[in-house]
Formats: sequence, structure tokens, C-alpha cells
Amino acid sequence: MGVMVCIPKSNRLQVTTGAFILLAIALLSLIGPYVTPDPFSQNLSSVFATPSSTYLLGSDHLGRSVAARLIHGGANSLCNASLCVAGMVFLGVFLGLCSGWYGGLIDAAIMRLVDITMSFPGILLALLIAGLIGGGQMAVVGALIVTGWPDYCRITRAITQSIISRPYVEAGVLAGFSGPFILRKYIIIEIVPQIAVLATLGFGRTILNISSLGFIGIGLDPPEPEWGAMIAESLPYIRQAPHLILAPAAAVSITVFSFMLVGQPLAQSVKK
Amino acid sequence: MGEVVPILRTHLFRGIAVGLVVASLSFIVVHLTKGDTALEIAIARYNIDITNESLVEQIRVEEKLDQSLLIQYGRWIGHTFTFDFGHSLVSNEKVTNLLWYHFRYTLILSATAMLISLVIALPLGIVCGMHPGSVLDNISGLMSSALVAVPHFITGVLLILVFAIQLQWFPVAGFFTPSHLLLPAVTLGIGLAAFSNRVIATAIVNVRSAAFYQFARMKGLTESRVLLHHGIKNASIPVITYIGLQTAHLLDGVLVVETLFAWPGIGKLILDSILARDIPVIQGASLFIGLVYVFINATVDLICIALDPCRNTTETSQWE
Repeated sequence: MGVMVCIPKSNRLQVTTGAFILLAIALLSLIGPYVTPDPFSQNLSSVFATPSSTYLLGSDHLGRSVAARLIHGGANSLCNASLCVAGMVFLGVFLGLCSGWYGGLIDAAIMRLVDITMSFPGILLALLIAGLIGGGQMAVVGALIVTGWPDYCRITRAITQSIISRPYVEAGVLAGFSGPFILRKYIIIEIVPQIAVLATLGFGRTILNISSLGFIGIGLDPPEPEWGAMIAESLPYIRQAPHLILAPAAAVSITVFSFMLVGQPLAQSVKK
Repeated sequence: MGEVVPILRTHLFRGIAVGLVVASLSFIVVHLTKGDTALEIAIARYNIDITNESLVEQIRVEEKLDQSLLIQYGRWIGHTFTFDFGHSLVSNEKVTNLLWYHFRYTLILSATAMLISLVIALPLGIVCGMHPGSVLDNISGLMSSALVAVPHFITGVLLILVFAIQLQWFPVAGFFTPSHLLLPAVTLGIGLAAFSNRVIATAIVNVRSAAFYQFARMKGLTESRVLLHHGIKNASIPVITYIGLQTAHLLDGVLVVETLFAWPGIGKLILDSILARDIPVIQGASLFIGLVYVFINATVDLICIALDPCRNTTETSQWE
């Protein structure tokens, strides 16, 4: 691609560690659902079981395997977060390119849209949209896309504007290159590394947001397992069985932290 | 002063935008989703057993749900901008009264959380900024990035596990005494401090490497005097700018933390009303939070101009 991202030596260990954990989580979520027991099967005679060979991480208040629910929940979260990030990147880059390329009225309109979306703090807008639609997977994914695209749009627009005014692009235009060709060869290759870094960090934040929404009851429809919802479900039993809460809590935190381990050094290296 | 007008204009636009989005969203939901709103109101207000057709029709007329969509939309927008949300569909309480009642709790919680975060972050940030690369600086850096990865509700649950259940120092949830306030406020405060101590440290490092700071040191002033008289004010500009972001973080956390600790603030009000589909309250509360957010950001921008009159662009007006 011609664009190199150089990570300073001191950070390589951090990035490698993060990447390995993420790889492990991804593998668990991809393969896990086929080898773990059914996350929906209840066994009311063995509720709140402590970790054993049948229940690797114990069982919850309905006698369901926590390990199985954790892995299925992870698969759900990763799948939904991928959909969200893909949607945000697509929408943000597309609108950002339009904004930077055409300028004028289109630019003004898109920037107003960015401004409106960013007038809401944090997950409030996502909460409103998903909550008002009535929850469910598509509502959450859609709501997070609608609220998450402005970052990608702003950075795409800024890069596009700065490149368009450079002499080599003018030379390309004078040489008769078509618009799509210039977009592809001059602009998009400059945007890719920046967006990739933003998406890495955004992936972590999206998982965090999905779990927060799940926790407050606006997420996947129960009994579909989800990390945040698992914590909320187990909250009434916090005295008898704190491990029901600790397991999904650790899962969310480790996943988000690994994305940050990988994303932060990358962000520093592309900024230079 | 030439900067003040565009800033005010930007934030005024944002305020109006928030109102339009909230009004339109709730309108769409009320009128385009499946299900009979009048029926839902009747069930929510009375009881599913005594709800019958005539009662539903009566509510339909009462809530003016029988007129054309465009007229209803116009009225809806008008009501939103005059802060006339009517009454809660569930408790029949006036929405503005509900908002004031719950806002007090959110305000107390947020202010305490801010205070706690400052008590942690200010000394820590300044010491780390004075000794960059020291053991303390590295530890706090690591802790901060770890804490940023932990969502509020998990911090809160862990605090409950340790301090309310194991040690039994604090009650698990509720809102009757100051001791109920501490755990949710600490939950939010830790989250805020994780961000802000790094911002403060960086600001101090930058100010210490500035030419005017070095010059003051060369004149023979002691480190603490220079920091006090030349450092703090200049270092505070990025920190105050950051308060805008902090508010977003805080309002975000309030939604979740209030639910976890059963703290009767605006966040819990919004969630409860979303689950009950109590549209007037959802509308009022989300508009309220949105406007508070816009207002704080506008204030922060204006303070930054006052503190640093020589800066020529502002964060918010760069798209103008």
C-alpha cells in the first residue's frame, strides 16, 4: 500500500500482547460455540454450582453453564461490534469523502449532521434510538452506527481536504486522471491507516457500549447471552454467587483493554 | 471578543438540534411503531383488567391522538420548544416537576463525583507532571488505561462486592443517607479521574517545557513559585477544555450508575420511562440532559477564551 505504520520498539510488546489476547478471544468466540454445552439448557437441580468439570465456571440462577454463556455472549458481542464498526466506517468514510471532495453545500450539510449527532453526550442517543425501537440486536447495532460515525467522517474529511490541495493531486487532475482514480490512488490510501487505528479503538468502545446497553436492559432479547446482561441478571444473587458477576465483568474488561493495548500505540504512531 | 458570537451561534444551533432530534425521534416512535399508543397509555395508567374500548377512545381524544400526523407533529415540536411535555403517562405527574425532582439527585451525584475525581486526579496529575517517567507516573498511566477499559457498571459492581457486601461499610443501593451517595459517586469519580489525571499531567509537562516557564526558573524563582504563578493558569486551559468531554463521560455514566445503585436521578428516570414507553418523560428528560450538555460545553468554550485570549481558533468553531 505504500503507507507504513511504524510502531516504536518500546510499544511492540504491548501491541503483541494485546493482539495475542484478541486472537485468543476471537478463536474462542469462533470455535467455542460449537464445542461448549448449550447456553440455554437449564438445570434447576444444580443452580449456583461452583466451578467443576461439568460447569467450568459454575452455573447461574437457572442452572445454565456460565462458561457456555460467556463464550456465546462473546461471539454475540464480537459479531455485533463488527457489524457496528463496519457500518460506522462505511457511513463515516463515505460521508467524509463526499464532504471533503465536493465541499460547499454538501460539506456544510454533512457537517451539520455531524454536529447534531455529537450534540448528544455518550450513549444517550443510542439509548434513545435502541430503547424507543424496543431493543433487540438490530436496534442496538443500528443505534450505535447512527451515533458512532462522526469520528470517522471528521477524520476522512480532514485528510481529504488536506490532500486535495496538494500540487501532486493538481498534477494528477491536469494529467487527465478520472475522479475515482484520484480518490483511490491519492486519497483512500492515505485514509486507510488512520481509519484502521480509529476502528481498532472504536471496536473496544463499541463492545463497552454494547455491554452497557445490555446491562441496563436494552440489548439482545433474553435468554440470548450477552456479557452486560449476564451481570444484570446475576445482580440479585451477588451475595451467594459473586463468580456469576466476576466472570462476565472480567470478559468485558479484558476484551476492551486488549483493543486499547493494540490501538493506543498505533494511534500514536500514525499521528506523527 | 470576535470569537464569542460564532461560539454562541454554534451552541445555539446544537441546542435547537437536540430539541428537534428528540422531538422527532419520540414522535416517530409514538406514531409509526406498531401497537396502539392509546391502548398502551390506558394499560400503563390504569390496569390491564379494567381497560376497555371506551376508556381507550377516551384517552385517544384526551391525548389528541386522533388528529392528522402533520398537525400532531407541528404541535409536538411546538410543545417541545416551550418545554411543555404534559404529564407522565404512568404516574400522571407533570413532566417538568418530575425533571426537577430527579435532577436534584443527579446534580448531587455528579457534583460529588466531580469532587472525588478532582481530589484524586489533581494531586496525582500534578506530581506525575512534575516527575514524568517516574515510577508513580508509570503506575498511574497503567492504572488509568486499565480503568478506561472497565465500564462504569463493572466498577460499581466491584465496589458493591467489596465495600457493601464483604466489608459492609456502605449500603448496597438506595438514596436516603449520605452514605448511600458515596459508592455511586466514587464509581463515577474513579472513571473521571482515570481520564483527567493524565490530562493534568500532560498539561503540566507541556507548561514546564515552555519558554516562559524556563525563563522564570532561570530568574531564580523556586519551582513551586513558578508553578503557582506561571504554571497553573496556563496548564488549566487544556484541563478546562477537557471538562466538556468529562461531562459527556459523566452523563454517560450517570445513566448506568444510577440504575445500578437505584439512585433516583435523571438517568434512572430516562431508563425507567424507556422501559415503560412513557414518551413525555423520555422526551423531557433526554432533552434536558442534551441541553445541559450543550450548555456546559458552551460555558467551557467561553471560559477558555477568557483564560487564553490569544488563541485564534476554537475547537467548536473549526467547522464554521
